[in-house]
Amino acid sequence: MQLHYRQGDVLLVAVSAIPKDARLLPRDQGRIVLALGEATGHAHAIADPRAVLLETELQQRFLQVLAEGGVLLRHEEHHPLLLPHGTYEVRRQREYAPGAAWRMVAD
Amino acid sequence: MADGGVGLTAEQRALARVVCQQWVGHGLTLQPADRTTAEAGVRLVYRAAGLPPPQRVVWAGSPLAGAVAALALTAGSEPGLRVAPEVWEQIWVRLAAEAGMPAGDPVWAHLAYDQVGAPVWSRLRDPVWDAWWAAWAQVGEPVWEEAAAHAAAVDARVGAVGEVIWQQVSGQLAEAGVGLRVQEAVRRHVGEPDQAWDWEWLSEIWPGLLAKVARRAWLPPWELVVAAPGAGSDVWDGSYPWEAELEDDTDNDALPRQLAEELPDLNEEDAWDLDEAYWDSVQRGPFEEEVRSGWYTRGQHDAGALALIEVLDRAVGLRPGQPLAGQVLIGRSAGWWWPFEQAVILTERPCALDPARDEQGRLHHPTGPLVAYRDGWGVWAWHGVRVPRQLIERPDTITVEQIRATRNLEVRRVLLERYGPDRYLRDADATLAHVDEYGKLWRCDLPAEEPLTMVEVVNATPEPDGTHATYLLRVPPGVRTAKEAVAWTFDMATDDYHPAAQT
Repeated sequence: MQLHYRQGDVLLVAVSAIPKDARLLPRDQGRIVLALGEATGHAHAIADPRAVLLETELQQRFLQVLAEGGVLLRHEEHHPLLLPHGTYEVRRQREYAPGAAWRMVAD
Repeated sequence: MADGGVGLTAEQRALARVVCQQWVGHGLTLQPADRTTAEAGVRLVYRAAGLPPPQRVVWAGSPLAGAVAALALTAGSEPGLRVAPEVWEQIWVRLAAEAGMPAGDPVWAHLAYDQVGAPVWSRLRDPVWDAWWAAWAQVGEPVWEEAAAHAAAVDARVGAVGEVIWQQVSGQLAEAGVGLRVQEAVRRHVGEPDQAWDWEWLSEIWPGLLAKVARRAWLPPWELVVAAPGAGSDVWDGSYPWEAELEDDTDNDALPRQLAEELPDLNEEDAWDLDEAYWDSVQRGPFEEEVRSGWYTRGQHDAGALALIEVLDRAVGLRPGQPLAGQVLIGRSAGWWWPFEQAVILTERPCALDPARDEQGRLHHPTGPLVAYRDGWGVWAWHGVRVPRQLIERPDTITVEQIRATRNLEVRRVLLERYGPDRYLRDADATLAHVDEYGKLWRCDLPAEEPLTMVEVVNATPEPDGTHATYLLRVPPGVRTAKEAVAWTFDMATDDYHPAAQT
């Protein structure tokens, strides 16, 4: 079973490798933003410079935590979550919508 | 004919931009129609075709009002057909109710059928065709192509609005037709004695009328621009928007299902017959027939084609013939119009326009109409689904009963979304299907559709006041446990889902 960590509507699933076509995503005002709330502007974000976010052509996102002691994922409405050193696939929570298969949740 | 290979000069190009900008303005204006100018334009177009000007001019408040009146009058002019005014009254009432239009004063009430004559657009357009060819021959291909490219930009903005309106008009007409067919099936089924209304006749005539509407739908004078040599294939790719719509529509069982629901005793064969008749009524005919048979023109929404004429006129000195000049006058001052031998139906211009789209490019306006007219008719859409005005502007008036009673599944989904699935669960007596440490799974039946299934989860982090917020997420109906539901929301297998930490 893969280790995984959850903060609200974001799930980080530990993976052994990142696809070759993944490209580095620029930071947003110095932070890595994993998800942004539609209405509130609240964000699941990492301020620690010792992490990078990558995205594949199919828009799968991966987070690499470089800090030995891990980095903190913060959100205005959740306690900080310590993500240990490692590589993660970033998953967003989705909701079932008949006809459209499903859509993303943004809290 | 202009010199080969030379397009517009810099000066002409600048003028073309100004003219096109003005036509975007005409196409998107919210001013009431300039009736005097429009009627003068109509007389010019008639005269160019060697016809006496129409004796009666009737103004409709919106394209739907005009289309219904034109349908009634078209049917009235078909030789050998007896028109029962009550039938059209019935259609009108249904459409008016559907569209939230003020009741009363239907347009055709101003026109007796025997005082209107046959539709004449097919006769008016021959001189229009000739004028287009003459214009092309006069200015030459390079100039034409460049001017057409400018005009195409106008069409991209204004023609798109005409499309939105057309989809609503044709959709409502088709729905009204289906509704009447259902009524007819009911009557036949229960073996009611013949009524005053000639339903059999209506069943015969309706598909033909709808087909007539559909054929004209995407063939305003604009197609003459693209059909003329030299206009270039980049202006138009040869596809018809409604084709894509029909192909995309994979829910072919919707109508039979709807009928089966409405008429539990209706046998399958009858249901499929009705369905087939409906689809026949919305298919388009052969191309040649479309081009030759005219029904309506779009006035201001033909701004793209009309801009081309005016660019050629003002920039390179083409003097457009009367039929084109007449169309230009109408396009500057009014909306859609339908010409008949002795009468013309003209429509007003919209009073609100905001054809917004969502991130996926679907028509979507969360607070108001995409297009609205002063008679109350308009177009409202929620993520690509055309919906009645109430769903957008008065979601607070939606009720559980209304959601249950709505037959159109797409509209019902929007109703449910606007009402709030969580609220619906509460108000519609949902059952608690499963509880575990991950949350609660709720289930509630929806008529003729998969049940509403939602998982209620609790935020791991407490609110400032120490309580934990809960929220509901909709999951596929096959989900059995709360854990399975939460795992599904993260695309995880149920057995694999067990976060090492969560906040």
